[in-house]
Amino acid sequence: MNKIISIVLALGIVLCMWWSGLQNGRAARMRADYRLASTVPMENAPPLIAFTTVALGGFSTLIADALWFRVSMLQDEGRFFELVQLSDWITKLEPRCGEIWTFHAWNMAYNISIMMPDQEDRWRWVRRGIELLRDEGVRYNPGDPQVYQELGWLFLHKIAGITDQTHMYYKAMWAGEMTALFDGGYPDYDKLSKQPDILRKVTEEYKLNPEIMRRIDAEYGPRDWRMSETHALYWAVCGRNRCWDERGLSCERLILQSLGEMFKHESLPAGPDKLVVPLDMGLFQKIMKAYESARKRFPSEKYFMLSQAGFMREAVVIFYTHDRKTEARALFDRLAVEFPTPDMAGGFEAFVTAITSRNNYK
Amino acid sequence: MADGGASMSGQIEQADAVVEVSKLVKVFKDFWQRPKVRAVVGLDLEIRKGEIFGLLGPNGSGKSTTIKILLGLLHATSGDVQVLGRSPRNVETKARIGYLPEESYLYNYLSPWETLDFYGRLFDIDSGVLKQRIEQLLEMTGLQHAADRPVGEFSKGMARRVGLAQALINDPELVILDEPTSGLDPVGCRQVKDLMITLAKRGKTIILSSHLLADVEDVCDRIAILYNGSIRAQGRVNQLLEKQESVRLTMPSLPPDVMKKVLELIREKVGKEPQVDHPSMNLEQFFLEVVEKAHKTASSQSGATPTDMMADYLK
Amino acid sequence: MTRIIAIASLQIRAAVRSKLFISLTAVLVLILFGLPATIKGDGTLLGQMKVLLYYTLGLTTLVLGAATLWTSSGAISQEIESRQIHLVAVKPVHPFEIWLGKWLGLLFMNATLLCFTGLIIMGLIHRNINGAGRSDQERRIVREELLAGRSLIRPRDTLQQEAGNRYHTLLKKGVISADIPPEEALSEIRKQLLTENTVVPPLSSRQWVLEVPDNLNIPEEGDKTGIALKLRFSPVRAGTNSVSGRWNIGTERRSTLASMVVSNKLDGMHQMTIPITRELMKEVIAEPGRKMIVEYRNDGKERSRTLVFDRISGIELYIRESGFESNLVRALLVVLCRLALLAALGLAASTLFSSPVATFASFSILLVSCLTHYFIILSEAGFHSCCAEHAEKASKDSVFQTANTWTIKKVETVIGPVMRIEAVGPLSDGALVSWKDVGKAALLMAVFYPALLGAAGVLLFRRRELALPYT
Repeated sequence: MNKIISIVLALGIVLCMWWSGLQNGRAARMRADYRLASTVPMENAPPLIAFTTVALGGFSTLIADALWFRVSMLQDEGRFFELVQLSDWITKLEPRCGEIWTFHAWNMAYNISIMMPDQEDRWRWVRRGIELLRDEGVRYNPGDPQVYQELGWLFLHKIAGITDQTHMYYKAMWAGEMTALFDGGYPDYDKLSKQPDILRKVTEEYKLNPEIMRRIDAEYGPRDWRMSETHALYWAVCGRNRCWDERGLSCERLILQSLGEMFKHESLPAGPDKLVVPLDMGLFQKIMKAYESARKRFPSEKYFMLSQAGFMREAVVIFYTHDRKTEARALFDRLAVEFPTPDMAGGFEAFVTAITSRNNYK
Repeated sequence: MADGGASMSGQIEQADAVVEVSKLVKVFKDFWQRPKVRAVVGLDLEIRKGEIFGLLGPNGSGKSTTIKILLGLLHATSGDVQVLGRSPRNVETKARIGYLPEESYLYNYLSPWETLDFYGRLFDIDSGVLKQRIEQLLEMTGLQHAADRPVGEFSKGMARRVGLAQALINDPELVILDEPTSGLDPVGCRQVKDLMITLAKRGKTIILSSHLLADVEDVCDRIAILYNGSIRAQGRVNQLLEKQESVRLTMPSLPPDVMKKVLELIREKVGKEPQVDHPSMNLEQFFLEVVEKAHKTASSQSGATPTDMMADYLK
Repeated sequence: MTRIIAIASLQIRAAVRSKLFISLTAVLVLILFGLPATIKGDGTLLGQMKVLLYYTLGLTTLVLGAATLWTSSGAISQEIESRQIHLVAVKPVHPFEIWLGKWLGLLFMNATLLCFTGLIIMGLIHRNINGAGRSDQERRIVREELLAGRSLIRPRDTLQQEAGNRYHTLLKKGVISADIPPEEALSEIRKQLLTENTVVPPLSSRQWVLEVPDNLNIPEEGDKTGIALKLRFSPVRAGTNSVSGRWNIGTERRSTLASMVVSNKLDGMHQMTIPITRELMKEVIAEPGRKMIVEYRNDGKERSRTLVFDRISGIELYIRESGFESNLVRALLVVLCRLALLAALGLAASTLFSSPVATFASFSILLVSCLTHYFIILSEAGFHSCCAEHAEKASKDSVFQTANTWTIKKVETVIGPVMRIEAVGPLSDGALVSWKDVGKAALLMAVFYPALLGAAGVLLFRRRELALPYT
């Protein structure tokens, strides 16, 4: 009798093992889809990351879920003090999943910051979001365009944008930090290379590579590094450099968006001596060149064509309002040929008036 | 053989029964409650007050099982067991029993003092009295020099001494000793045997289980021999061992001509050739004499020190 | 009693001499000093301290709990396996004395370690508060909001009752058709009431009633009563800088004992704290029913927008009832009670099973309990519908799902009261851990459940044959 029972149990074990083996393929495919298991070992990973990625195995996802639930619960209750640590742990548990990094950075910079009554507190949470991606997200996902794109977006939309009521404070704070770092908005790279303390701060604290900065200045500038759009551009360029073919699409878009915002005439808040950045015609040419380049790289992607058309339409109005009517008309003519739309039928003046009225109504 | 004589045996015969076992059966079952081993089969046993009772038998005969049932560590499958007039699992009964198991299942991290103190407190002995008893027991077992060392560092013999001491801490009426001389040197063995005899003289009942037949023969009043879970022989030691069909005379050495006359007389009357030899002391006696001589000249030793002292409260 | 103390002392000696005690102390030191160095707060002193308290105490509880469960699971079973129990069981010791002695020994060990933890935490807190690099304001906020035992009073949640009343009224009037499912109608009514209760449009007002407890003690001296009203609200439309109105605080008879005008506040969720004076509290306490009436009047001026109050924590009355030290002591007592329950669980398993099986069984029970409770919380928070109180039963639930749900609910009935008692969370929020909470914890986790487990353990121990050859 004992023998029969033993045989039956042994057969049962074999059956279970066979069935679980069948699931293995599906599980492996899902893990690959969600980038939960990297086939490339993380080099020079700190002990915690090595532990979570290797020792915990699949349990790291379960733990991350539990922690994420706690984040949601605490956030609903308005208790934010623990969220930085929890976000840190969740990202460490799934370091190779870019979505997790971007979600938590966005959550801190957008959802939590808006719950703060004071602008200092809001800025602190926006910075937390930026630091999460800049200091660690990029490090553990160097080839993930999503991380760069979100980081750039935080600079472009949250700080440089106008939707947040506290945006002027953010701009002022960021400009202040950059001024202290570069002694103004335009770094002297030669001087910087001879100042090891400042150079270390630039590279280790702000994670900025002066060589890339120099190349950005050469290609699109010189750019004012006090402006957050410039930093959005920086991270988008970094992302594009690390990602090839279609993977760099989102970063390419962000580059053009950043450049477009820069061109749209932003002024820096600086108290009594408020700075106003003048219209940069050289930048316009560079933006157009960037669009051409993007359209060549991604010929099937309609976005760049439509975006260029939109940019040119706005540029017509900008030129007009800055009393550069000749450039405006030339651009309008070009627009009518390359991207004709029904509202151009009434001619240049009518077009400008219509666009201006629409912008004012908004 | 126990130094009892006819009068002592008569007293024991009339004494109350300390242990009464009737038709005891113990069957060990497996997890599914199927019988596996019949360790004790229909055992009838009566142990009286003041006697030293030996339980003998080969391995697996049921000796240890029987002892454990008497102590309440195992439950009888059927049959009746009374110890000191009550069920073995009665807590009050246990206050009057001392037990030394086959192995010294002591706490290795406790010193002899702490061990005796712990077990003594389980008997609810007054602290002053307990302290005195511990001192006396340590002296009796020769462990006073090692009183503060953890038992885990002791040799087997020293640990057995601690075990014996804890079995006596409560001045028990019934002492159950399972292989008490195991691991002890001959001096220690003799001390234990003398202790048992002294305790019996004081009216304590001792149940002794041992494979060392010489020790059992030395001290036991009655014995029972178990085999396959039932008693095969039971009775007084001297009666069981006596060869009624022959006689032994012991006398001082005779001159050869007297010896010759004695032998001729025996041959004539009995019709058989008698066996003549010189009586000899047993090895234990010889050993003890040698050690006694050496002890008088040697310095102190690290282990147990031989002593012939008996704890006062046990006298 | 002597026997129980002897066995308890033996258990403590075993823990100390087996290096368990010293190992645990070393681990606690690592946690208490190492963890604060690695944890990220939100940048404020208050956030840092909250995280420090929560995580160090939480991890301490976890470590001590695991150690207690492990040790207790082997306390009796290992003695049975090594036969050391023979020399104890043949002594005049009742099985319950053995069980109780072991349990008390483990409790004593945990109490010592928790005392040690408490002292270290006190030292860390004081060091952080008085350390350099923090402003006086931050320190003041920490002292008032964290280093205190504050009880919290919220308006009574009458949503269910109001919804029910309104439903019946509307049904009577014929506004709601009888063929509409009640759950559906109630759900809609609840949503409407939520809106009405949490929203204050311009030119309207809203009242909240806070019932002050009977045993409230107001300090007779000093500037501060330690009582404050905390408000959380936001204007409906973002992008507008427009809150204009008046807060009135009073009683049913006198509604404006205190007033505060509010205007030109930043948008987004806004928090406001209004200190309550001694005189105001005395007036409230003097009223029958002890009700504090808080009213907001939205004055509807040009820039005034509709205000939305947080449903749970829109209006809260904080009453400082004790200092941090006594609050910490009470929290640690609750933790000790939890450890007492774990010790009882392990000991009960230990009386029945061998050492590894007892460990496995007790940890499994703990894991199942924690997961069940976690699952229930998920359901209540809306992350899963199966076990939530008002979850609609899916008509196509399989037998397995139905059995699963039933089992989870039954398990939660047993363990829920224990799992809901918290100390570390409230302590790290500056909330009061009252003696009532301690009493409840002691009754449930140190008396009732351990008594049940102990009774079961003793019964099993009595029935168990300690000298079986294969144990």
